[in-house]
Amino acid sequence: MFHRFIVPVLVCLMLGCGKSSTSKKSDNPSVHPQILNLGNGAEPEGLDPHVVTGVPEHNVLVALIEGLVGEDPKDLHPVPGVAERWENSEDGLVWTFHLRSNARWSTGDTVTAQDFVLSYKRMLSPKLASQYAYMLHVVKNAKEFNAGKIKDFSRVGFEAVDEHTLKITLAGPTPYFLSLLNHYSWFPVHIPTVKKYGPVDSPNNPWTRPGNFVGNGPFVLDKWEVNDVIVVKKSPTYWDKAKVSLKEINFKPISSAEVEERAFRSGQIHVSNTIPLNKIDVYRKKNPQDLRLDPYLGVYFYRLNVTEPPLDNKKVRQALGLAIDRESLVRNVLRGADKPTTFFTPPDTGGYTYNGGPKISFDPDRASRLLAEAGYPQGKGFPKLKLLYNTSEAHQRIAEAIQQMWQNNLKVQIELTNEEWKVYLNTQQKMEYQVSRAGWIGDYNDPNTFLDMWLTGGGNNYTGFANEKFDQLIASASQESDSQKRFSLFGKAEEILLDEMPIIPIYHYTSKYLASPKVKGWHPTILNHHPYKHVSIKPGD
Amino acid sequence: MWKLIFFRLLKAIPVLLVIATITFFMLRLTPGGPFDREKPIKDPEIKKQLEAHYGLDKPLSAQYLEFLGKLMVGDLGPSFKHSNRTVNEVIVKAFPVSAELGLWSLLVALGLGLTAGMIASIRPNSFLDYTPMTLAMVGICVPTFVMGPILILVFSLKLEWFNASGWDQWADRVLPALTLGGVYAAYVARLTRGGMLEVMSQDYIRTARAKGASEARVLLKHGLRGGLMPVVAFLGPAVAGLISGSFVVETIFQIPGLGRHFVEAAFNRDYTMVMGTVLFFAALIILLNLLVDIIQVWLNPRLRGT
Amino acid sequence: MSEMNAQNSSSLWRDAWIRLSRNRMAVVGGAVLLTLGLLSLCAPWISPYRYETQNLELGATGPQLTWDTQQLVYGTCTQQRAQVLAAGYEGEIDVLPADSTELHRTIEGQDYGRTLWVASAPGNTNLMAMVITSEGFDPLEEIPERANFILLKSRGHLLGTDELGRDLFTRILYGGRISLMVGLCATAVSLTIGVLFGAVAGFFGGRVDDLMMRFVDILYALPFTIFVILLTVIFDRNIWNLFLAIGAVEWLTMSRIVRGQVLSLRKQEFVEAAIALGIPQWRIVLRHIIPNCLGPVIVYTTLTIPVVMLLEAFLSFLGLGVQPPMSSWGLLIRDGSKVLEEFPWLMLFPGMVLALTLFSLNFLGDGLRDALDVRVSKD
Repeated sequence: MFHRFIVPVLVCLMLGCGKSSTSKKSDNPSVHPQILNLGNGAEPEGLDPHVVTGVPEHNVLVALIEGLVGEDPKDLHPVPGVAERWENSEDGLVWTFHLRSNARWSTGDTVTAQDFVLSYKRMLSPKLASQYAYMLHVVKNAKEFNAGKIKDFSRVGFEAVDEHTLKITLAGPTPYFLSLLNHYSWFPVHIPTVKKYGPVDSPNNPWTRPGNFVGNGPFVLDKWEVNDVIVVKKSPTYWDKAKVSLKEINFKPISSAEVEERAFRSGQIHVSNTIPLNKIDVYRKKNPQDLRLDPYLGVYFYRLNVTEPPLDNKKVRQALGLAIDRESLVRNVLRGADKPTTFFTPPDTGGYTYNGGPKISFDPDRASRLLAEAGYPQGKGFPKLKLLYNTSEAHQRIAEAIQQMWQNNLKVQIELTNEEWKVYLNTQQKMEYQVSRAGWIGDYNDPNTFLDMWLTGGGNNYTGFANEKFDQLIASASQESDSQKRFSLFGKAEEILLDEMPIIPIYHYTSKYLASPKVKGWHPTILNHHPYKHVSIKPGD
Repeated sequence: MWKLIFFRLLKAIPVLLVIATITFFMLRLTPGGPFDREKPIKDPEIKKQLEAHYGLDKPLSAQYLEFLGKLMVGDLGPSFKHSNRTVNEVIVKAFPVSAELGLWSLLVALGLGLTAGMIASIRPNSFLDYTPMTLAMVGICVPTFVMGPILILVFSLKLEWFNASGWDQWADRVLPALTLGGVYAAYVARLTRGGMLEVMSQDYIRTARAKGASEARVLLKHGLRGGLMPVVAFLGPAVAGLISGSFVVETIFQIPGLGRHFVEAAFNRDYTMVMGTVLFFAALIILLNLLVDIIQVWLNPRLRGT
Repeated sequence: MSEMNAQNSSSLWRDAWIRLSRNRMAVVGGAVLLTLGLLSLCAPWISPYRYETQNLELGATGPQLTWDTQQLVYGTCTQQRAQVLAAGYEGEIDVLPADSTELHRTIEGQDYGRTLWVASAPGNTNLMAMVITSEGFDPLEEIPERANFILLKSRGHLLGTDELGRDLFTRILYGGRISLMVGLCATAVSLTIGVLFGAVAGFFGGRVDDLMMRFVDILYALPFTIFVILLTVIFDRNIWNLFLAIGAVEWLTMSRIVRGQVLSLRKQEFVEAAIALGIPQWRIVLRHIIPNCLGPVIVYTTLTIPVVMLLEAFLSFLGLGVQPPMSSWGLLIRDGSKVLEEFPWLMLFPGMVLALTLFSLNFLGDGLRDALDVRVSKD
């Protein structure tokens, strides 16, 4: 009975999916010219740029608020935003921004230098407890003010010279300073509006509700239904509104990749947030024009707890690193979407690509030699190793494949343990693991965001890795203003990291998503940013 | 009867209190807090400030008392995850959606389930019995996370009759209600058949038949009354589950209901939201179990006075 | 008196057994269940593969009906390594015709699924990998004009393979161990607690009933997800915690159903009579009340088993229970449901096994109920 009932259904599905995925509905009522429907992954936690921490929040915020600089839609280099132009002093410490006089809040008020200063004061105020406040710590005395050591904000390096001139004094030369400004922690907020709805430094101030929200970006907040949709509409007060083609953007928080893919296929969304791994081949074959695989500023790796045997032995760690066939893993498990890697910082991060010494490409023979040198010939006497990952199908598949590779190539026993997300974070932070799956997405486009986490006692280290030489190299890099010299310092540091191997890099991320060819101006970018004012929908299709 | 209802409602208060207390402490024992993220807060000072803002820095007992105090006036506090909304707001917004879906599903479950169960019990072990019961068993075997995608693939993507996701139009109710109601229908069918068979062999049915009552009358009036007892007992918690939302169905069809908050709050360690949804669900369970008890008394007059 | 009773009851059970063994459907159901259980237990002797053995290059392949198929197991590798691997998969290495057109002819008309072959050029010990599908083949790397092709023969996969190239048939066999055990044990736990609890509450009624049912209300309302996460932290992951977690929730509805039945039985003449005769209350509950509500109990139990098997998948997701690469029917179905369109067999076969189990259970359950039905025997 089961047979008779289900099999025909499945057969008709299999026959059917090919047809319907090629002939997409174009008369769907929810698809209207210049209304863009986006899959946005998760429900944003909030829309206060000084409080939130995630990517879904970013995607909505950049529509609503504009920072000092904007991003080029193709390569994300800083372009004029609220600031028309800017200059940097000889020593690289003082930046002067000249704000355009026609920048407006959605209330009609002019965006002034004072607005920025007050916003940064809010961002750094200890009571707001902003989790991204450290993004502003490159500014003179910002860290001290944020920690409550300085009470007088005028000593912090922000100064409104006049209504349209903002001067920012840095603590040290920061070559990547302009790329920081695209992060929402640097976005201005309309302080009078914030004050109207509650204390200025309260993290759950309701000023971000539709109706209350005031921004200065190309769109204004129209509707926000939890777990349903966030609607933004073209702003009538935006200074560059002539360039904005889209009338409306609907952000749909679809958390399941399978659900999102079906919504895309039926024409309910134009651009998805992600794509299920198994669908990649299907789209490659049938609808390659919809599939997007863009390099992304992130790395997938395994942390090794170097404080406990057997992983306190460098040779054991190297053996584990050499025994993973990343090519096969990426090709077969990840459907060839990501980039297998033997180093940590993604290639061309702010212009830096690692090209140093030890390569840890797949070499099972060397791996088992190293393991023998460490005292475990053919894996004899090697204790059972626990591999921790947070529950997700992709992490599990990768862990299972790597477990098999280690067992086959090194003859060691591996036990997989999965934990629910927050339990896993807890275990990792307390270092109660041996091997733990991890990922890291750069906060900004510079190698510093990938390498300074491995400083001794660093906030995201969690491996027990401590190396004086490494620490020195990172410290000197932060004082170096010449980018070539800086990169060579980073290179040396990364070489130490890869030789000591407290982490095993596995692959560099790719943004995997679906985008309808109708959407124009949606370029592949390394941060997966897509400034909406350059996006449009091809009419008449 | 009114006295019974009044006392049961009175007794609900200590029950809710016990639930609130256990949940509160269970939550705090669970590792991970609302502010634990992949990129954790670097500065311990900032974490302290944040915890102070949400009152998490106080001793647990003080937090508990504060929570109870607020609960008395019906204030469930601000959500940790939805940073500018209160738990009350979220529930008020999401519950009607889940309740609507639940009621449609209940309609499907009872419509299909009762009919199939009764048909099957007329002639046990015949074709009339096997067909609906086989279907019911298939319904139980095919969980919602399989049925939902199959329905979408067939009716949304292939036939293009419905939207693949969303909760905007009337048509958007059809597939989720079928998915969710289908499973319950299978249960109802099985339980109805079992209950009916049990009752139909009872003496009073034989008496009724002997008195010359028509078969339909025997079945509907006498049979159904007793035969529905297990179904009714099952329906109490089932309806509570139905109208408080199903995480799986709401996820598959992208429905902004309470079921998702219920589960996601636990994963996010959104303390206030977990407390709010749990207490809300508890109140629903208590109310519906009370309703079930009343219906059972009504179905079986002999229970009166117990 | 007591002796007579014992004799009486033993003959009751024997009668029930005879009635059960005369019920053809019930016997078939029982036999199928027994077979499934035995198959799972004997999995290592039945299947040539192990449940965790992967074949990454093979990936997800549909069911192959021939037992001897030709496929390869690994990516770019040396000839020596290919031999080792071939031995590992109980396959052998064959040298194929030299040029690619001939190779094409060899594969034509045969469905190898997504098969990987290895090519070796003369004078080159490094083998190169290529993927062959039914639509032809494209080399993953540059393949020289003339080359020796080496193919591995290995066993086929009766029900296909999953995304990591693991044999689905084997995984279903091994998964049955977990699922059947969880299904039976957890259901037994919930059955025992639920029936006793419900019967006692219903029989004594009044204040006792009230207290007991409020307790059930409380357990209903507690957040299950948090409860399970706590369990994973407090205890080590093992199968007994799984039973504990499932047993803790699944008996609640059972107890409410039983209580409802008992409440109405309590008022029936034969119970009133038994009480009047002074028969001890526990004996009335065990001998008269519980047997009389077996109908719904058996029905609900057979309904609980598949639910429990699927619930196990959720608990494993939270980190309690089955540890990968071991699997269970529930996990296989859950994983399969995500690739319904691409690899339908991954959903279909585990689903069919679950359905088969449920149907057998139902027939067995119905048979049991009829066999134990005291009223039927009165006729």
